[in-house]
Amino acid sequence: MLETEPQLIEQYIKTGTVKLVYRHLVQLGDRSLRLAEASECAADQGKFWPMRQAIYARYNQILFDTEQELAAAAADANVDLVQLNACLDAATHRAAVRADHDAATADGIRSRPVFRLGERTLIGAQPFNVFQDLIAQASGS
Amino acid sequence: MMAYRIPMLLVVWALLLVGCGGSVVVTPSPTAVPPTLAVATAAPTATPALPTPEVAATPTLPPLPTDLPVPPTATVAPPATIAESRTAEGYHVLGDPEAPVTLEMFSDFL
Repeated sequence: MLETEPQLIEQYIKTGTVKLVYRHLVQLGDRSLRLAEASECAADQGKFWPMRQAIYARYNQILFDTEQELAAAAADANVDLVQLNACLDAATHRAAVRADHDAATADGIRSRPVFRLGERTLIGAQPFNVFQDLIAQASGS
Repeated sequence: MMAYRIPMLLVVWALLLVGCGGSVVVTPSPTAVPPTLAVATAAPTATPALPTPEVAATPTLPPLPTDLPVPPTATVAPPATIAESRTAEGYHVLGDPEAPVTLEMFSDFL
């Protein structure tokens, strides 16, 4: 998705053809939950998407040193770390993240990543041309 | 004639003896050495002092600022021109809320 998403943004989201809706699916325990909460805490500062991208950019390290990489991601996304930590300590968004996860699993989503486009569901990372075909069908172009 | 030469030879011999004896007494004199040593030891004090204080006077660099902003990389943040909003349920949306195609992504950050 790291390679595909920039293409989707450039070709379909920037042009107003597609909107991307992000849903939390926290399947890897406490660290998944903490990072999802961190993204919501960043959203309180208007930085959900930059924080999400900053975390993704550190995906190969954040599993091993979550706290340090999370702080670095916050810096990359210009998120105030003091506010972020206070938000995390207070578990401000934990219930909302869990509710999102529960709603997704209740909807039949069992793994990650999963993409849903209209009636079609794609399981796992997909090459860009797969999205191109589905978007073309959905938009009638 | 021979009787006249003998006293002359004695005089010459005596003069030679005196001359040789004088040179033996004078040349090994140790008093001639100190002046040259004194000159040698005095020479360094006569040389001008090197400007070594200039090394210590080299200006030090100002401290580096510690609060430099970290520039985000090109892949970190989506362009600011893309709309960001939420659905009625509170899910995050990237793109025009009125876009005809909705792509839902279910994922986490690990």
